[in-house]
Amino acid sequence: MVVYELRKLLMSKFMPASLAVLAILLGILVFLYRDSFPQETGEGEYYGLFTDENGRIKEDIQAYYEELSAKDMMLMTLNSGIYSDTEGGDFGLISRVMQQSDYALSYPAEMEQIVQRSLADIQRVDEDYEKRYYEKSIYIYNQKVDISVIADEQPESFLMMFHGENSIEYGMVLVLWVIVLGVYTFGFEEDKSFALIVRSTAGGRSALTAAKLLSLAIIILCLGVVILTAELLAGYFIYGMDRNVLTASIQSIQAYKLCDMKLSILGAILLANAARLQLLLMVMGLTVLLTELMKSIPAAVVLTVALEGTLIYLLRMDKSGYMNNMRFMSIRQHLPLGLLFATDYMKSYDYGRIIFWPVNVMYECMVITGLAAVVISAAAIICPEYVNRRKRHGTGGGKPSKGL
Amino acid sequence: MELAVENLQKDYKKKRALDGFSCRIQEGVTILLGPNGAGKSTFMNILADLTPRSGGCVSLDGEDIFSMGKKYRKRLGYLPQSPEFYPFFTGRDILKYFARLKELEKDSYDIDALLKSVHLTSAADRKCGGYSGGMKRRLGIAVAMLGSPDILIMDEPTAGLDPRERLLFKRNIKRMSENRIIIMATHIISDAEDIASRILLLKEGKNIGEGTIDELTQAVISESGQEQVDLDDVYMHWFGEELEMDDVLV
Repeated sequence: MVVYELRKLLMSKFMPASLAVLAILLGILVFLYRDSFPQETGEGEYYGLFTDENGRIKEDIQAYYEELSAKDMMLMTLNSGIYSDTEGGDFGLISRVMQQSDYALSYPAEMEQIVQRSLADIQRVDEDYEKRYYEKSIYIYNQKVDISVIADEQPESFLMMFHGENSIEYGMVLVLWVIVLGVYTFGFEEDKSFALIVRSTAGGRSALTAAKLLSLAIIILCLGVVILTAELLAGYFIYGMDRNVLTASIQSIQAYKLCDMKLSILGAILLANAARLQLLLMVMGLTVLLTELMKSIPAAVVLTVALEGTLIYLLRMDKSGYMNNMRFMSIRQHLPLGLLFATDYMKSYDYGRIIFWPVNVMYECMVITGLAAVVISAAAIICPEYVNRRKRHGTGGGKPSKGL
Repeated sequence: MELAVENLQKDYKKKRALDGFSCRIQEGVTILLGPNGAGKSTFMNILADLTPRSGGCVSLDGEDIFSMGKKYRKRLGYLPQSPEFYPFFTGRDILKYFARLKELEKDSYDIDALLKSVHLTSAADRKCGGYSGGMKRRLGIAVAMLGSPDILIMDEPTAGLDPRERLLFKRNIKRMSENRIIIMATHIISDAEDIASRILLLKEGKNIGEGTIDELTQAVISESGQEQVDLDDVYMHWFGEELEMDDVLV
């Protein structure tokens, strides 16, 4: 079934048109967000204060840090973790210097001693907020030791483009593409008697709907892999990499520098696509479910919009803007809750963010329902048995003729 | 096996397509006769569980077909008025595809035999996009017959077929009509005469008469006093009263 549906999609005359639409939309997106691409220095503004045009730590800064003992360095690292903002502040810079200098790996015993002392210091920290970040710093520090395989040259790539601040728009473009393709390909059946024959068969409703959704999901997955591969290649040619692109650590990418998962870039690509696929299937599942439950596309749209409106209102109550920071943070934004809980990622989940868990859930819901509102109209065509119940087929209609 | 239709009603926005339609359809070939807009396609689409009804019920051997769902559709073969298929699938692909949709066991159907029965063997591996209207209809017939369903519903299956193919179709239908309910709409009276076990006459969504050809002709003979009546005369008797000589081009 899925093979047939895939063939329908791939051989559809609307496929080139939909790809053209996708290219245009992506082009518009690239144009609008051209300033947010990684610069040749490979560093954002923040790091630019400390780095030269080649992305290397400025000499005076380097010298300053190199004069410090490993002990001081580690203390600074821990302290910077405590007092930094949610992104880790200058912790990233210092840890990078440490990696370049190999200090961290040269003094494991002293590091252990400092960590133990730091743990004791936690007892003296009264406020929960600081305590959490103290723990976080120690945790991340230990992780960083494990990722000493990171290339000195921090390779950048266009991954930033789709995994940075505009990833939501990127997702929306993909969904739009799916709708264009879905509507014109599967919609092709609706007015045709072909759909009637299909729906008159035993498996022509549920199985066919599932096969259509699955084939769409496969196409999306393939497209995601193609786009990400293109990003990697573009990144390779623009910035260069001195290691195998796919097996390099995910932390090799600027956007994921602070990600505390042990992942290769290939792993990240697969995981991000699996998560995206899961999200999309959830959206489509929700759409079909809503349509089925309400037996009415307009009513389902109204409900979805109302739901989304409520969630947006609730999100706005997060005056700190914390949500905006965290959702663009790293790969985790592509991990719907189900997948997130299924991994041991939770073990390293930032304690500070746990308290925002309800907001996180709302955010996920907002994304899902927001996309659902758009996809519902496509579902009307993908699952025609749920709609157009009044549609007539046959020569009849209008004023009866006079017969012969 | 019997399909019982009780007081079936179908309303569209501004039109009542079926108005308290009732009948009983047994095994054999039942032909629906009536002018355009009489409600034949609507009736068949409801029987095929493709169009929801506004009222009334349809049961198969006492069981409501709309509650049976998949169980009912497993016993159903359907051919719409103008069958269309994906142009980039071959005829053989289409049959394999529908065999999967009908959830048929691999050894329960023979695609080559089906293709042969509708004279499409030589075109089996050609893409449907290159098929003529008649070939598409024949492929549609093959799809409807796939899996030898207990109930066959076909909307004008012989329209557009050449005489040879019509003959072949009628032979196939006659052969299949034992132990099956076959419901067909047609405007070709001679087809009805050749294969109908019973005829249902529809007008403005109502069942205005039903019976075998003999019963219908006898009824017209007794009403009109004519000595010889065929099915054309029956049709004209019921539906031709509005036909004026002015309507005929000279």
